Amino acid sequence: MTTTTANAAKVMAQMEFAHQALWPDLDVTYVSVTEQWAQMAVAGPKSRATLQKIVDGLGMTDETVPYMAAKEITVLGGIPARLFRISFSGEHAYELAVPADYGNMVARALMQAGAEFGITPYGVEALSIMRVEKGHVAGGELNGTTTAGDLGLGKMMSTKKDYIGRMMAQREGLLDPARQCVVGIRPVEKADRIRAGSHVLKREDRPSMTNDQGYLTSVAWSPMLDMWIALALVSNGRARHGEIVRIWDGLRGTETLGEICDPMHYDRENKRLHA
Amino acid sequence: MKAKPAAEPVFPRVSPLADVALQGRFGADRGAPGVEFRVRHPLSILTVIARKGQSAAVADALASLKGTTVQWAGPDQYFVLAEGRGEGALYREAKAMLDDKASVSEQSHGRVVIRVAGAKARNVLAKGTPVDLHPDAFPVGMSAMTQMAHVGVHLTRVAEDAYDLSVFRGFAESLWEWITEQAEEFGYQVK
Repeated sequence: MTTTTANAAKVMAQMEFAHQALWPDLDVTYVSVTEQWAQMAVAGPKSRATLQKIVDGLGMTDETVPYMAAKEITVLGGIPARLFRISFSGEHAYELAVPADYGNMVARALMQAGAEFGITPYGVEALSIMRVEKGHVAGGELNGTTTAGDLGLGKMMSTKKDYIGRMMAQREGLLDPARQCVVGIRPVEKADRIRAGSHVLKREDRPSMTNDQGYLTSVAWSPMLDMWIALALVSNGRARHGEIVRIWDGLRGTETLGEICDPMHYDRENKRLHA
Repeated sequence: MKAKPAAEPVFPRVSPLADVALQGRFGADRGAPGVEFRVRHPLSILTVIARKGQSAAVADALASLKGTTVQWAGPDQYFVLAEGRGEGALYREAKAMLDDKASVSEQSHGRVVIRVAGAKARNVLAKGTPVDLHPDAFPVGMSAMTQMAHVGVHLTRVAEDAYDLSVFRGFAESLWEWITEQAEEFGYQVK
């Protein structure tokens, strides 16, 4: 099981609680292996070709390594590894995990293997921009007040089986359509800057918290769209795509107009994901 | 003549403390060093957790694993350590032996073991852990799960004046910096 870094300890603690307090009869064990593996993301149209050069004995295709696959393999002539086809950035991408003492060596081998394709290391800022472009929720949205439904992940709540939280998720307060849910926001004037933490109001309302409709949770300058873009939590947001709203930065005393849109700002057909 | 089987490839393992645990004499420089530090690397380390109803069976099975050190790490939970094994070899041996009696997890790269030894070892450790280190309360072979400088540490007394500190890899450098600083007043040697 993998989970979001910031909440990894909480997730494990939750499982331990469920085992010890709710279902002590279950024969199950768990241990954190976070530190055992050095895991690196390899992303982009040439990611498969790069990895193929160091992966042992496996011809990588869409059939052998489909989207969301996880495989135990070896690399570089025998280093045990795990290969995942997953994407945080929204491109055709993989993650490769090796026992951590080999991490540095394997990373260098990947840089060599990808040299002919123009491989480059990319950092957290680039990653953060790309995930906002793709509408992937992260820390700003996973803030402890949002439900799966708010995050646009309501389909993952099974209607066929029980799970912790199923009953209480039916409470009116958690189903209220006025709840804030994840949307995209773009400035109406392409050159305008928008800032995380700014509040969303109806266009005709005066800036004040009494008129608050939500706020911008994540903001990034998008190189693909050549403008600032945002993810935001907005009351009844999914029904308001296309609406022009007031974006109010009360801290700096500035405001501008924005458009509510789909949180997936870029590559909505997932072409790059499956490239 | 029978052909020799191809040797298993050996890949160099690099400890996270490789550039941090520099060898030499540090701190107070009068007389013998009060403490010796050594990073035990490379090691094979496993977490073994007994499954339901298998506590006794697992304890017995682990006692029969040759050439290993078995340390208590919690209720029905153990660390198993060995030196000089190939990548994954101890894991495969333990898994085969324990079969479905216990869950076995590779932690060989996930944990770092620091050996702390010498006349002042207990003095240094006592600066960090609330565990009673008096020899009467903490005999040779005993282990404790504790914290030092906000870092989770699995502490084992391995000899009269020697202890192994096992920490998660990501905390190793932080703990190393803290514990060597605590040893400065006694003078310390890094081997």
